[in-house]
Amino acid sequence: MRYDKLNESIGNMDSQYILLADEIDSKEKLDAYIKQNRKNFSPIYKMLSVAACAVLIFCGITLSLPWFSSNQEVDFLAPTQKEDRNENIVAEDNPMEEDKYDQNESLYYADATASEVENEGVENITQDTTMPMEDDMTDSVSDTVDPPTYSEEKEFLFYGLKIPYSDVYVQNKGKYPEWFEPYRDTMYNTKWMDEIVGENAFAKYQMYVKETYGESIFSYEPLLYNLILYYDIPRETVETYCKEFTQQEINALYTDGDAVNEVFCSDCAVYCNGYLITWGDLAFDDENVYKSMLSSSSPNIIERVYQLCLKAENFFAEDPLCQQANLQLMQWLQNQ
Amino acid sequence: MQISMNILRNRTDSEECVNDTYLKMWNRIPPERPIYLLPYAGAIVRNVSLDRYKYNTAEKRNFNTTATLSEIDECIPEKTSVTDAIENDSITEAINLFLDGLDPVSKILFVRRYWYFDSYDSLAKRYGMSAGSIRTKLSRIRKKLYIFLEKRGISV
Repeated sequence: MRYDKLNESIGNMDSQYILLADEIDSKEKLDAYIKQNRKNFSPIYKMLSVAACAVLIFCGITLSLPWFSSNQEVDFLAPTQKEDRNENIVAEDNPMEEDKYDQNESLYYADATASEVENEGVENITQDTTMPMEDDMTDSVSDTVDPPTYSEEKEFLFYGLKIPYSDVYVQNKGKYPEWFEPYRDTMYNTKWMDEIVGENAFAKYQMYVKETYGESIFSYEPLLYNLILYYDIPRETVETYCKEFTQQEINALYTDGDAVNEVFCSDCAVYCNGYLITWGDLAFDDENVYKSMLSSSSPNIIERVYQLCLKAENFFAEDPLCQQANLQLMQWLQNQ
Repeated sequence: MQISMNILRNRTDSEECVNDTYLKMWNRIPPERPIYLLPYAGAIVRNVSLDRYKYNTAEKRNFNTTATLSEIDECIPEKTSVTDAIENDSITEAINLFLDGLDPVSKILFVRRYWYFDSYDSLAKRYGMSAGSIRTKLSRIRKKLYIFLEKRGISV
């Protein structure tokens, strides 16, 4: 069997992952690990912090120089230079005001850097060093809508979903801040999640999938389903941001599994016991998974899965193993 | 013991496997000197239990283990005329690399499911997530791994 080889390789995986998975044995520890990982995650963020610290020191010296000079008994400047300097101070009053934000930003990064340096090598770093990004996010959102409250994990996943950052995106004139980039790259499928909120989200998603995978089964995965299942997205978030979905659709998603099938999964997927069965799943998963899952399902669901198998037949023709699994599942479904 | 129980779902068999594991460890250490005992012992008990599982499955099937192994099966592309079979070390290296690039939750779930053989329900209970959500996540991880291995020309 193919799995023998891969299973053996998985068995020999690096000890660090085995120890890690053993250590993280509860939701609380997982949350803490996510928090810590997020903090230690981005080398770019660290580089930016160091750079910001340097800028802060430079700005601090530069800005304190006029004050320092004007309060000294000994005048280091020639009279003409002094006049020029005073003029400049008057003229630069407004620019200095404008620079306030930058200075604050620098302070903020420098703060994070200092904390990081202090905590370097310490495993359980406090939350403080990660908060700047979250503060940024909250500030950005507060002017528009009040975001729902999230647990730490959801907050992290929230980054992947990109909803609060859409405001950051807008405020940065269509470009994500640099510090956000590492998060985008590491979250699974965030590229398409960037596009899902807003106008024509579903069409954009389909286009992305088509470009990425070509004409494959993956393009038939219903969007909102997967998002909600994958991220456990609260209803209020969907209601706030996914304007293109009707109230009927949202009701179905959050109240009635069978209604979900009626509304969203006409011919490409079936919702069953909290799990979405797609063409892709049928291709890859063991048929026993579905036998177990479907054994207590209604005839309607059984019929839907059967139809899904029929539709998937052409695709499975390319892979004898999948084809066999599909056939076995179809035979089992027929007997139900 | 838990790893063996996850694979065999039988206390008597699991106890025997754990005893075999202790014996193997006794014989191997020294000369071998593992840095971490848990992964070392875990790997042995995993292999011993899987051997026992194969022996047992001549008669009956353990649903969880069968399903887990089948899931693993789907991750590795079939060998084609273009690609060559890669030694196990290379696959292990690729898996380590793959795990390194995963987000924290995916990493933990993958290892718990495919190294420790945890069931979906126990994962859901342990991490306070829904079983459906975990299924979906793992399904995506497997597809990702498939593509990852395929890109590296790894096939069997």
